[in-house]
Amino acid sequence: MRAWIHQHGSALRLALRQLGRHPFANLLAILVIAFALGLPAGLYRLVNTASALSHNSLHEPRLTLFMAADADASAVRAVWDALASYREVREFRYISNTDALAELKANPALTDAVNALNRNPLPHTFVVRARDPSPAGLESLRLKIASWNKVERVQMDGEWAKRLAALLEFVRHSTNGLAATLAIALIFIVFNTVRQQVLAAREEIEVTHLIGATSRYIRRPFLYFGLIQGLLGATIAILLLLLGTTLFNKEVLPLSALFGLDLHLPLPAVAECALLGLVAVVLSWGAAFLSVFLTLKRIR
Amino acid sequence: MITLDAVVKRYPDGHEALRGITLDIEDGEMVFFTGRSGAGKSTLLRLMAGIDRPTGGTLMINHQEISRLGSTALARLRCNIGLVFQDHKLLFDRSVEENTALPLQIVGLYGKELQRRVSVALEKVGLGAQAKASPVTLSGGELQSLCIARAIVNRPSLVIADEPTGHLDPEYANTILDIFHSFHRAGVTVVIATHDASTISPVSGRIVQLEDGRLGGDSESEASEFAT
Repeated sequence: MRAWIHQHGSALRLALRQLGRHPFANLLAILVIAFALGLPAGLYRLVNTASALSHNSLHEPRLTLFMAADADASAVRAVWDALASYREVREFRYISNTDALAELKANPALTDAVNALNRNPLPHTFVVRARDPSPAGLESLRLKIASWNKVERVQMDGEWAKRLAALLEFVRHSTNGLAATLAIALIFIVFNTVRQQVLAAREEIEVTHLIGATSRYIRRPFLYFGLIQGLLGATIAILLLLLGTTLFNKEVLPLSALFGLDLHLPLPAVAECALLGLVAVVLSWGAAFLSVFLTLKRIR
Repeated sequence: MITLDAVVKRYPDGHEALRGITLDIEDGEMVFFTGRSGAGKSTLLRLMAGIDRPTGGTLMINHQEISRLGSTALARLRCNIGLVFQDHKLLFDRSVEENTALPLQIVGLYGKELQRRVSVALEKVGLGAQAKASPVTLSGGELQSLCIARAIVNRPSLVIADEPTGHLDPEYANTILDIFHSFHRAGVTVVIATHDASTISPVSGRIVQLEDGRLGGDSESEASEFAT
């Protein structure tokens, strides 16, 4: 067991030595890996925050229910009870036609016009928030409520929701595509740098092979090399995310506050960082393994 | 220890380097393969070292048939064979002792035991004082000595050397051969290929002649024929 650990330690030292031989070229490769990991990760975080925002405080979709003009107090009471007992309704607010008129009268620009009316033309109104705020959920709820007695019209304030959801979905798909492209770029970078290392160590590989080294022994330092590149790339990517989040919050938070929004982006959680590291390990190790396997096969 | 039965080696281009070699080499023997360039000496040694596999016949080393071994098993077999190459196969970016230590690192040895074995091997070939030197600073004979040190550091029971005196002056060639004789006396099986018959004599060990991929003569069988 100690011999096995020592062999891995030697392979690791050899990989670090290889990394130090061309520090500038390797640093560039590691930076590219960092951007390949950090850019999609940052975009995902932004999209997720925007999605949460769209579902929460900013533009939470709602329905406006207008009662018929001849709806009396008992009809209003029936709708109130129905909404209160409906599972798909998260909350609702009632605005009587008297309150609505008073609100209009409170506006000095409209006072004279409202006073000129000989009767209250406004309907009783309910503002309803659905439990499922997706466009499909809202539409379903709208159709149900619209069939109730003395309900004149149910207006879905949902066009913007559809557009925002479509936009976020587009951004999410684009980010998926970008992530896949950058993952391929990462694999290519690690594959290529490991290949160069293998070719540079061709003589050493031949000698160690002749004197009894197994393929596993020969591969090991190169796998560590790829793994170290990936892990260093992931570490820099996490640092970039931390820096990017801090800068975003510093610059955008005061601006968003002017619009009454809370666009605060939380710092990356430990689980997010671990996931990024895991992705880096899997991709870089896989690319290094493929590179060593194919290059050694070609050499032999 | 080594048994060859009608061993054939044919390369992909159709060239037949060995054409049915049948031979036994016992434990502790010292065998010289001689013959002109292209006679098949190096090919035979590469097969015995587990670097290549025969395309026909059977080759057994320590009761293991080479053709049936996978690449990992072949690598493990090579760990127990000391190999000396005419072109040394040394790593010139590493010191003398680092080159010597390579076979030990491959089998997972480290620390003081590794250092001790490296020192012993280098002392045996007269390179103890140059342990920290770069191979670049060594002469042709010293490079060959270093190659021998690397071959014996893992205490193999079989040492195979391909033209170990090929580029050496007669004096250093004798020194190198003396080193091999000392291993032989210690019970190690030594197999050497050389095209220079002048460096060996019948008392040196068994001499096997190769001619165009076939056995041309064997001092051991000739001696037994003479005895009968």
